[in-house]
Parts: sequence; structure tokens; C-alpha cells
Amino acid sequence: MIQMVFRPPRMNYYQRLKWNLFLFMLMVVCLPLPIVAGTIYRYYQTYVRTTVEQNLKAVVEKRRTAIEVFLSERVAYLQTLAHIRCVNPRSGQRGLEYLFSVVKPLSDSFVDMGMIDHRGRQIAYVGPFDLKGKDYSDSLWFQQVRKSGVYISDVFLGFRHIPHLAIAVRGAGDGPPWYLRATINTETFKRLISSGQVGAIRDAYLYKSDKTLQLHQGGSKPIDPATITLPRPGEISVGTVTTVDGHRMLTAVGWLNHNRWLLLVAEDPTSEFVSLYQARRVGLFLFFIAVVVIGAITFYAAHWIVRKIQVADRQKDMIQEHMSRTGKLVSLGKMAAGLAHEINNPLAIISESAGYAKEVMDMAEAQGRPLTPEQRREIYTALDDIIKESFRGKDITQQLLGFARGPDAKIMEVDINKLVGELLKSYARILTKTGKVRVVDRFDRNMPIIKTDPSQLQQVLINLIDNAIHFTKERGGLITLSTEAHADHVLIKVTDDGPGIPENIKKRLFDPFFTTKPVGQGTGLGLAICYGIVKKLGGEIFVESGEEGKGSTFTVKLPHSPPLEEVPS
Amino acid sequence: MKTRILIVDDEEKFADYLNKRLVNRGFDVSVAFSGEEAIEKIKEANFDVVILDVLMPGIDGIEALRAIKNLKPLTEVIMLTGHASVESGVEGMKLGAYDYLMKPCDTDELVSKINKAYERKAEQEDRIREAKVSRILSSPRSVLED
Repeated sequence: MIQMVFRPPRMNYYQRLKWNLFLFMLMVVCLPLPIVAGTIYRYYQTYVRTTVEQNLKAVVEKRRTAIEVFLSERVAYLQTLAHIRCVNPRSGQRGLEYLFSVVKPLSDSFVDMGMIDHRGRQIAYVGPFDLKGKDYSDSLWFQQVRKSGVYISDVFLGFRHIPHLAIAVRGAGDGPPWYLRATINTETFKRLISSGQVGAIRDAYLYKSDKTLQLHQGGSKPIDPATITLPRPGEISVGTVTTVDGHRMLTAVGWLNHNRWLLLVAEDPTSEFVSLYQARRVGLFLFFIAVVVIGAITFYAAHWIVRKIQVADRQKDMIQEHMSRTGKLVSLGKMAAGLAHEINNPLAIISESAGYAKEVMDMAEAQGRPLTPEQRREIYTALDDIIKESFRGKDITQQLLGFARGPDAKIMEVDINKLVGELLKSYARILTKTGKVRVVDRFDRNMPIIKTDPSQLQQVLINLIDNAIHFTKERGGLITLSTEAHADHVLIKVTDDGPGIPENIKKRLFDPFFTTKPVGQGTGLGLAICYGIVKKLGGEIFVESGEEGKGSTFTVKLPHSPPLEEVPS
Repeated sequence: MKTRILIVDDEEKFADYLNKRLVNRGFDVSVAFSGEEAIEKIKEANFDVVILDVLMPGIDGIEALRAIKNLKPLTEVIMLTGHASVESGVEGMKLGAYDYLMKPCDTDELVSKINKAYERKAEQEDRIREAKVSRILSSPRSVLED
């Protein structure tokens, strides 16, 4: 997604850090958004759905009542007519015509009216069709009305293909029973079915109990009857149905007319859920805006933090370099003190032998005779010694130059054994003269040539040897320098038999400015600098120390070549 | 009587040349190449002045100085230091050395210091002798105590 789009082809350490930080913060900040939004949306959806369902239910309830009232009114109407004295089988066609002429203007819901005698024959008929004399004795409705006195038919298509409804009641009188039958125009019915239409588009359907459609009011496609769930008698149930063309509709279904009919009101959910969809759209839009804004802020924050880190790192590097330089000067100072003695020795010999030669010549001159062969030999020996000692002095100054090389890392191929050996010769020998320390070497003959910075490595070893001497000279200790070759690294170990290092000090050993030496003697930088240098060369430095008095070993572990990329800058 | 001198230095050539030059100047010179050897020689014989190198392997100059002052307190010691610092010289003087010189040193300066050291030693010996004499005079019995 976003992270894919923005990934630059090549990134350095800080850029990578920045992107990681950015993505992480963005995730942390943005993750709760969809959760909160989703929850709210969910609740709102439920609320809207419940409201819609309640509405549908109410509509069904209202219409059902309206229809029930309408039907019972019609029945009551007919029953009233059937009890009027002037209407009876004797008055026949004339009576019925009179009755119809009175009723028709009052209620246009009556289409026709017929009078049927106890044998099922229609003895009188008023209406648009010629149905007089028709025999209904085998009709279902006739059987029903004979049994219960009232009959309401299902909706049927009449001869004019207009949905109709028939109501029949038993007439009054002393003679044989007769029946009054009226057909009701369903236009009124349709009005009732779709009454109380408010806002949303709703379709109304009237079914028989076997789910055959009787009436459909509205513009939607017919409903697949299989998807209708029947409610329990007397109740209204809410659910979804599917139209024949696969459109899902929200519905409420209720029984009416003594559980013979089903009234179903269906609604296209989209029309009711418009506000919900609107809310969803607005929500998504706001979410997107929020992500963009948060993204911008987060990006800026990540940028800022990484910049700070970068500055801090640079300062750390500078301090490290400064410390390294200081350490270099400190060890150089130590070297200088030792080397001064070493240089003064040959100088003293030179001065003495030259002085002696001069004296020999002075003596000869004072006596006023040429030099004897013995005196000449003495002078030549003295001159030879002068030359010899001059070269000795030169060697020592060159060693000093070797240590004084600049602090910049110069990676080159180094023979570790040779380097340690030279160090032993030039440095350790001088220092051991001051105390009673012996230094021995134990070299691995198979040491590979490794790539590292010899000057810095020397500095590390000088510090380690220096420490070893410091802690062993009181008792005339023994320092062992050993090298070990391994498959992918080499080890240089400086072991002493000094007092060892207590556990609590061991932890802080490599901390800068930590020292156990008296004030003014140690800077506390030596081991910290060693640590910094060895890390920079891609290696490790660690210390092992047994019980007290068992001595300690400092081990420098170096790779065969230093890491290609140095500390990022 | 010639001034008896002991040169102690691990640099043998230096000791040899200094030996020759001091002999030329009329001193009675012995040489030791280590602290241990010097102590042995001092035990065996008496020296007026010891020229002692500070930095030596084994028993170093400071330790040797202590031993010498222990064995023969009157023997004067001149410290020679190759170190380009005065610290070790000062330390030696605290322990009773007569003076110190930095290597390489001027021979005339060394000779004058040897002579002064010898004079001090001679003076001190005189004073001790006088003290003994006066003690014997005041209490002749004290001769028996020595």
C-alpha cells in the first residue's frame, strides 16, 4: 500500500530508520481509527435497521387493522341489509334492485349484489352481469356460508379481470334460509393496503395462506414466495425476502382475516439506508483525510526525531574521536617518558666515548708526541661505539614515530604476530624495567594476515599491557601475550597474574572515566577507548577474571577484515 | 689517598668509558653492572662515592640506594638518571643521595660533584672522629664499649 509506493530504491541507515519510525507511528495512530469508526458504524447500522423494521411493523399493523375494520364493516353492512324486512326471497328481484339503488350511492365499494335461496340458486341479481338463475349449490363459498352464516372470499379476478372480493351473509326471515352475496371492488382495498405511505417507497402484497399472491400494490418486481417466512398466527414478523430478479428487500409480514391472508410490506433497503450509506461515505472520506493529515504529521515527526538522532550520533562520534585522540596522546606521553630514557642511554655512551677519545688525544698532545698504536686503537673503538650508538638512537626514534602516526583509520594487511612482537620489543621492555614485571609471548604460528588498522590496534594493546603492568608490578608479576587463529576471527590475549577484577568493577570496566587508579594517575579513558576502537574495527573486547588474586585476561577479538560500512555518519 | 668510586650501570659500555675517564682523573674506580653486583661489592669493600643509575632491570637504583645507605650510611651516592624527568632524582635525594645528574652528563660537572661528595663524607667522618674523641676524653671507659 502506501509503504510500497514511497519506498525509494536505496536508503541509508537514517532513511531506513525514518521510514520504519514513520510507518510504525502511523500504524499506532491510525489503527484505532477504523476500529472506532467500525464500531460506531455498526451501532448506527443496527439502530437504522431497528428503526426501519419498527416502521415496517407499524405499517403492517396499521394496514392490517384498517383492512380488518373495512371487511368487518362490509360484513356488518350486508348483515344489516339482510335483516331489512322488505328484502327477502319473496320481494325477489325488485326488492334487491331497490336495495342496491339505495346502497350504491352511499358506498361505491359494492359492485353487484345477489340473492341466493337455500338450494343455491341465485334468485335475484343486481349488477353489471347477467347472473340471475346461476346455480351455486356446489360452490365452496355456498357451503361455507350455509355452515357459518358469513363468508369472505379470497381476492379473485372477475369477468372484467379486475380483482374482486365476495362477501356472503345469511338473510333473516321465517321461511327457508336465504343468502345475500355482494362483490366488493378492490380499488378501495388497494387504497387500504397502501395506506399510510410515508416517505420511503414501499410495496404491499396480499397473499393467501398458501403464499399465492392475491394483490400487489407498488412498482417492484414480484417476490419469490419461497423466501417468505410465515409469522406465528396473529403476529408480525420482520425479515428479508428476495424478488424474482434477485433483489433483496426488507419486509414485515402479518396475518389477517382470521389467519387466512398474509399482508406483506416490502421495502428496498437502499431507500431506508440512504442516511447510513451517506454516513459511511462521509466516514470514509474523513478517515482518508485523517490518515493524510496524521501521515503528514507523523512523517514530519519521524523526520524530526531522526534528525535529532543523527545530530546526537554525530556528537557521539565526535566525542568518541576526541576521546580516542586524547587516549592516543596519553599513551604517547607514556611512550615518550619511556623512550626518553632509551634515547638518553645511547647518547650518554656517545658522550662518554667521545669524551674519552678526546682525552686520549689531549694527553698525547700535552706530552708532545704522536699517538701510540694502543691509543689509536682506543680512539677507533670509541668512534665505532659512537656510530653504533647513534644507530641505536635512530631505531628508537623510529619506533616513536610509528606510534605517533595520525588518528585516522588506515586499514591495511597486518601480521598480528609481528605487530605484537614489535610492540613487545619496543614498549613492554622499557616498561618492565621500571618494575619487576616479566613479559612472555605465546604466539599461534598459523596466524593469518588480517586486514585492520595497525596503529589503532597498537594503541589498544599498549593500554591493555599498561594496565597489566600497573596491577602486577607491585608483586613482580608475569604478563603473557598470546595470539590465537580461528576460522573467521583472531584473538589477542593479554593475561596477567595480578589481583584480578572484582565482579562489581568488571561491569563498569569499559565505561568512560571509570578508574580505580588514584586521582591524577588514571583518566579512566584507556579501556573505554579500547572498547571504541575495537568496536570500530568490527571486533569485540572482553575480560575474564577468576577469583581474587587469580589474575585476569583481556581478549581482543578481531574479524579477518573490518566491516565495509563504518558507523553511519 | 685516592677517592674510591663505584660505578653502577647496566649499560656496560657507558660504565667502561666512565671508568676509564675517571681513572684518567686519578680516581680509584670499580664497576658493577647491576644493583645486585653493586650491593655485593659494597659489602666487601668500602667506597667513598657510588655513581648509581636509576633505571636498571632487577634491583633498580632506588632500591640499591636504600640498601647502600643501610649497609654504609656514610657512603655518598650520586644518582644518574636517563629519564627526562627530575622525579627519580628527587626521590633519590629524599632517600639520602648526595645529588643527581641527568644522562648524558658533563664529565667535569660529575667530577666536581664527586669531589664535593667526597669532601662531605670526609667532613662527616671527621666530625664522628671528633665526637668519639671527646666522648673518650669525657668518659675514658666508653672506649671499651666500642
